Amino acid sequence: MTIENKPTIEPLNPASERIKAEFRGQQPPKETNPTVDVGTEVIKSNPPAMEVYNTLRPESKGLWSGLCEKVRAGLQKTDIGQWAVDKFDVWNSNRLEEKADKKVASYEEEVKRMEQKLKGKEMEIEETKSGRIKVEALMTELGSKISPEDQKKHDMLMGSLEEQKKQTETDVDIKKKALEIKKDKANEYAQSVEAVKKGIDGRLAEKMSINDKAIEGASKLVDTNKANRNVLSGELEKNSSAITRVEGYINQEKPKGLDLEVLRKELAKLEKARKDLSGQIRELEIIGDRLTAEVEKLQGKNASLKVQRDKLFPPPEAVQKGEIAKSNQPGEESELSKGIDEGDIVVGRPDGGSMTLIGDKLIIVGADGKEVIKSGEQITDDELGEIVRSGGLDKLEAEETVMSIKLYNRMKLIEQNQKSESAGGEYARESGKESEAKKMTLEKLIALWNSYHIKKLGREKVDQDNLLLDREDSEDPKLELATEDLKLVLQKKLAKKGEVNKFSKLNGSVRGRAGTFLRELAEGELQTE
Amino acid sequence: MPQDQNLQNILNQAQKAIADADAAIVSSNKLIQDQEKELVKSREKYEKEQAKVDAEIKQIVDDMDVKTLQFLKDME
Repeated sequence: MTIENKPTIEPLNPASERIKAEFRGQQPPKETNPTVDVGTEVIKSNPPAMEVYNTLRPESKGLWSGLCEKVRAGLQKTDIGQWAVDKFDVWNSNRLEEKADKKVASYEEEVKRMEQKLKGKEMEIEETKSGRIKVEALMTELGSKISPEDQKKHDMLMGSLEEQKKQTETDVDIKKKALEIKKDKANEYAQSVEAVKKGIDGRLAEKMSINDKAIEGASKLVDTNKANRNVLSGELEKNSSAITRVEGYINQEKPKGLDLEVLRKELAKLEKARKDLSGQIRELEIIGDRLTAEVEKLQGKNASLKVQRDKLFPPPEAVQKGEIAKSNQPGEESELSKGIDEGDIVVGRPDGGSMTLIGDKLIIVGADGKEVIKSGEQITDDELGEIVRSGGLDKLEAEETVMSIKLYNRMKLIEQNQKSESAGGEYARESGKESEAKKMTLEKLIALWNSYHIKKLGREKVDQDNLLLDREDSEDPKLELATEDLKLVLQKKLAKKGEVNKFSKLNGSVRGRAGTFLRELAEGELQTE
Repeated sequence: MPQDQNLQNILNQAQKAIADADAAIVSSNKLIQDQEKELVKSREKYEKEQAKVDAEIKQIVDDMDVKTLQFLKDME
């Protein structure tokens, strides 16, 4: 298999030095990217295609070029999935189908015309035969006979007519066969288009699966990185305590001589250790941020791949529009629910109905058998909560089910909240604080965010990164925030602080910190008091 | 050697904090190196797997281009 001029930027051979540099947050060494000459014909890198192209008539070449205009522009893209999906539009073009229909119609017309010609010949033969019979009868009546010359002329005429008929029959057969061949070719092509659609979709699904594995791997590294930072932070605390004690002794006891000298030496060593620990923590943070950005990048890639796959196999029209797709009559099974397989999640409901999650679609069957299909934002947190509670998320992860990242993240957050609630959560763990757990106020959230980062990064770094949040005069400090609102409110405030209109436009470092903070908050690792 | 027990305790605590910090940093550096190696390895595998799928997509596209052009030829 040759992969010359592959229109993707991902190099086939890994560059270890580049990866290492990225891991450490350094500028990666420059690579010589393969140049893609977008000005060449789209099939220039495909000799067999070029060979066929060269045999085409000008009008066919013109049609091909017209269809390929979009893809030619697409060659500038670095996304092979998008490129393949654009190409699919070329192969699946109505103009090709129209061309085939036109050709088949012209052949059918030709067959019809030739069959009429054949019919004409047959009639001519019949007429000639019956003419002769009439002439013979007339001449017999007159007591005469057809002369041998006339007989010969007639036989020759009949022979010629029979020959013409035979030739016409042969022509009709040839044309009919040609028509069948054209029809077969058109059918074969239509089947190839369908097959290629599945082939590309399958490869895009495979790319998503590879990304998912990479996301899982990078997420584990993020977790290890975090755990290591916690260990170092613990050492930093021990170090601070030792410094305080040494300094306290010097200030209070006023030691002199050798004692003072020993204490000063230890103090210097402790300060050096503190500097080393802080430096190490900073390095780990940089690496952690890089890894978090890597996870987000891969998630973004999967979101794009999902969009591309949806172009090949669009979701049901109404679902795509964001409306309730179909409300079936009781007992009427939707097309979607007919396709339930092992990777799907089926949850029974207390009222006797059920819910089935198939990819991004949720089919809810009521106790009366009535079916409603929901997708995306239409699916409520309560419904997702039921799925998560039934162990659905674990099953989805185990089966590596393809679904939107947004929905998956919602389920993950719900799972975290459920765990946090069932464990009592840090801010509900202490007795009498259960009701408070669901009553995080805006004031508390801001205080928690600020103290968490000052403690973790130090005031200098927090100021440097512009991380401190303030409450605005217009905001009610006692505003109670439901668990699901925390993320939104925090993201809004951070976006405002960063002077951007969307949280997603903030740099990866801040987004990563918000993610870590919310995760730790949900996991009950943060002190709220 | 200081005679004051309190001073001795303070010094012991300081020395332990220094030794633990050193050990934690050594361990952390080892972890970074291990992670770095793991990342390189997994990224290499990732890129290889993605490149394999990309090559398959490219092959599918090339084959289908030939089929489409042949189809155009057949329909002339």
